[in-house]
Amino acid sequence: MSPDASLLPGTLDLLILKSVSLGEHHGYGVLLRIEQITGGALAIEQGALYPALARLERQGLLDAAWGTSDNNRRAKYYRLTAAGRRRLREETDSWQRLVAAMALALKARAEEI
Amino acid sequence: MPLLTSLTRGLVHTVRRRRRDRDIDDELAFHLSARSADLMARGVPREEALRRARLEFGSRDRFIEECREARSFTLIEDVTRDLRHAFRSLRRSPGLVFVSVLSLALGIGANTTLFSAISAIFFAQPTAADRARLVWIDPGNSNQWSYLNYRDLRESGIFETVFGYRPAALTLRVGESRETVNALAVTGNFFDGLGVGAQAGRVFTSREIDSGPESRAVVLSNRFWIRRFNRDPALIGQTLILNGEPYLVAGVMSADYQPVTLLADPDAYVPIDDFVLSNLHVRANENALNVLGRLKPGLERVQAQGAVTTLGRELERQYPVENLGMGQPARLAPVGRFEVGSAPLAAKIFPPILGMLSGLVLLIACANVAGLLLARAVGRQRELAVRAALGASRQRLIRTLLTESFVLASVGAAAGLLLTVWLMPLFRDLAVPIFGRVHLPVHVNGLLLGYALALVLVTTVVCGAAPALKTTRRDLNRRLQQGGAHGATARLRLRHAMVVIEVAASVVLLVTSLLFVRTLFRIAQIGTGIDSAHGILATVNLPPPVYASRDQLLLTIDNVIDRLDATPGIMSSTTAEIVPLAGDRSAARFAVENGTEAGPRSLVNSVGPRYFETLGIPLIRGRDFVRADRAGAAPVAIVSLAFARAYFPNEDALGKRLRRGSGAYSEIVGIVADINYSFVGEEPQPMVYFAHAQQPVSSQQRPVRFHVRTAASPIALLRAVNQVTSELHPGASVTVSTLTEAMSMERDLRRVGSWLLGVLGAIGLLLASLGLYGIVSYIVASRVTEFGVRMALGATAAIVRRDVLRRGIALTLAGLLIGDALSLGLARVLAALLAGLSPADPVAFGASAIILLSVGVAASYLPARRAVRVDPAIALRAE
Repeated sequence: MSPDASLLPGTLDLLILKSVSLGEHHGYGVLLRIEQITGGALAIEQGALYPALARLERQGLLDAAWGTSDNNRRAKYYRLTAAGRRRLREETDSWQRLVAAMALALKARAEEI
Repeated sequence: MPLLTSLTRGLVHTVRRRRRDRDIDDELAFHLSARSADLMARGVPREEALRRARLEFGSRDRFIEECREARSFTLIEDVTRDLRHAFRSLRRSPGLVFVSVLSLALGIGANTTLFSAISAIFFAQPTAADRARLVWIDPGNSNQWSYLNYRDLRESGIFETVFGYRPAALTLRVGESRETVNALAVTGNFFDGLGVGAQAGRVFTSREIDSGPESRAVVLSNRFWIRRFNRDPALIGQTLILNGEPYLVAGVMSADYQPVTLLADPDAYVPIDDFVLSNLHVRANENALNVLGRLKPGLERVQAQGAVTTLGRELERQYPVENLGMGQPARLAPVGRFEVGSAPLAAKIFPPILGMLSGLVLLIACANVAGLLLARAVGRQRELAVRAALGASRQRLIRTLLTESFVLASVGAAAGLLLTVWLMPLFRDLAVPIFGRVHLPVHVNGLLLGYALALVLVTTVVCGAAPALKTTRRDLNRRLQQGGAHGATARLRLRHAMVVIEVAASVVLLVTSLLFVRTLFRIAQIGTGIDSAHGILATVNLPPPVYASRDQLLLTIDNVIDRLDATPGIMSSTTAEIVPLAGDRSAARFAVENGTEAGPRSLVNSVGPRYFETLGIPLIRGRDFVRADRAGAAPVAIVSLAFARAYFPNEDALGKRLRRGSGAYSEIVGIVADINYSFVGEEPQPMVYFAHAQQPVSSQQRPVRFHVRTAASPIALLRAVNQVTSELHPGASVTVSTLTEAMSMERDLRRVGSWLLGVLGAIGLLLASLGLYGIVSYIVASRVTEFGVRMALGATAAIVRRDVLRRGIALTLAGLLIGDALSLGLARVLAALLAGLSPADPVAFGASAIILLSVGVAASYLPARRAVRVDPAIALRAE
């Protein structure tokens, strides 16, 4: 198995929300942060990130504003909205339930049934 | 509302799209620079870092597309993209655009023009405050209200207000010139009752009810003020001489004031009194007032109806002779609905026919455009198949194709509306013989635009559906593999059907317009039963009350007739109440002594001695009226042949007696030949003539009409007749015309109607010819390979040509048969208007068959000639 676990459908949005919840950042920063918080295990396709950001922005989960980056360039900064925070909480809960359930299921042995 | 909001937001987004695209580019640029900076920090050389950053990122175009997709309101953007695409691809085929837009402009323009005129008639609303409470009030005996009955109705308190009017022709004298003013004599509370005021000056006040000569006033219509007085503002307060008496100009109505008489546009309004209306205070004067009432708040029309009926019953009890039948249920009708019933037959029948036929023109136009689009879509089959293979859904492809037909339909409709706007002034101010001057309030309004939009949508679907569905079918892939020529049979079938439809539609158009044009010629030839070629009609409007007694008036009339008869060139002269075929009409049921109580409804006229001789109506039996048939002498009547047959099928009508209502019996002293009374070519109508001098007083309030028969052409004698008849009264206004001209109402309406039908027929034929040619050429073009094969196998050019021609003719024949069947059905419905022309008129059907067959042959022959010129080798290689 390759070290890069492939992304499950729907997890990209959750990862973005999570990474933005840790602090306002521009698109490239979000990318770096995801790599950082997943310990580099999950590779995000760069071209897929921006459409996802745009989608979340349109859904009202993210707020975007133009600002200036550390090296003095025009960059677009993303921030979590109230709706985004709520969504993150819900998605986290359901993700954890799913993971727990999956883990339980995968640990099951024949004699336990 | 959510739709509207999302549309607005979508539009705003579209506007902002340019900026947003720049933002996306900026964001991308920042990403690339940040990424390459990171890479350089790890020691990657600058060039390599930039290259790797781009590589990692992937396709920039896809990125932009995906971002756009994620952000945009895709519906709006798809639509604008489709529209742009449609415009671009249509610009590449200007010929197609030209022919389609021309076809649709004619098709849609014909419909919108007609619609604007017809809707102006049917949706016209009179100007009045709180119109919902206004009603027309008709007494139970279907007569009008005499002034005295009207006063009783007004005093009854059933309505908030009751007011009425009566058309009155007045003579306006300015210096030595005299002209007739079509006025309404109105009750003093008329404008108060309507709740409308004047634009300048004032309207009547209730003071003018039953007013005397000291307060005579006139209110002018805006159009008359403009036409006759050139908008002179100083006119108000001045006096006009009407019927020889001074009238103070009280005010001028506003331009957008729509009278209750709707289409008929009165020139002026004067208060009703003895001066403008004789016999005002005669209870039996049944033809006096049209009456309107304003319902009390909360009172239903039905309740008011009951109350009016009760009042009528009481009035009949008090005056059983004068108010005969008044106790029957009264009729209350809402104001502002076009009364179709009163219109002449031609006016009733032409609008629906015109509507139907202009619909057919649009159908032909649509078939043309559909044919062109189909040909084009087939040519683009590969492009469509490629797009489908690349993942465009079928809906998406259909939408693309429909957008093209939508663009064509919209441009066509815009051109059609321009045509309508250009034609509108023709309708706005019409002089129609029976109505006087008709004002049609035609405007570009929401209704018209809505109708045009509806036509655009219908046209889009009708033109675009067949090509869109046919060319995007699921077997596209197979077609992509196979190439163009296969599977052509299904498409051909569609095209064959279109040829048949076009031919059938144009047959109906052609046959109908030919039938009416033929009828027009026929009317000029067939007898109406009246010899109008040597007739003169003089209409004298008398300002009452001029004569001390009715006998004195009759004496004066006799004197005028004697002087006319003495004039060289005049054979005979007489008077009559009604001029046949001029739009006027009077009818009643008659009871026959010792016979049926009420026979079929008969037409009535009251005429002077020598009437039948003067109009050239043969006296079949008995005698004519003579001067001795006066009031006091035994009442006499003359009946038409049709009357004698209807009332006395098995006996001699001469010597029998008949009466109208409860009046005295009149003896039938003569039987005359039938004439056309309402319209030319009608079935013979039962008709009763009374002696003018024996008629009740009320009928004399009409203008006096003199008929004159001349030995030679009547034109030379018009002046003389005018001079003599003017002597009837110094204040009289006289209108003199030839009888042919006076009886032309029916003919004029027909001429306008037939002319319009002819134009529609010609447009339809033109469009259909174009369409036929286009479709047949396409069919031939798609069979070129087949022809090539056949010719390679030894078929001669003549055989191939004959084959093409045969198919073209077969299709035309099929359309012809269907069209003929439809036309025959339609012509049967219209038979009454065809003046005795057979609905299966061989000339109309034969001519349209010949015309369409020639078009069909020509449309097939040219492509056929081209087809055989194709080199078989080239045709085969095209496979």
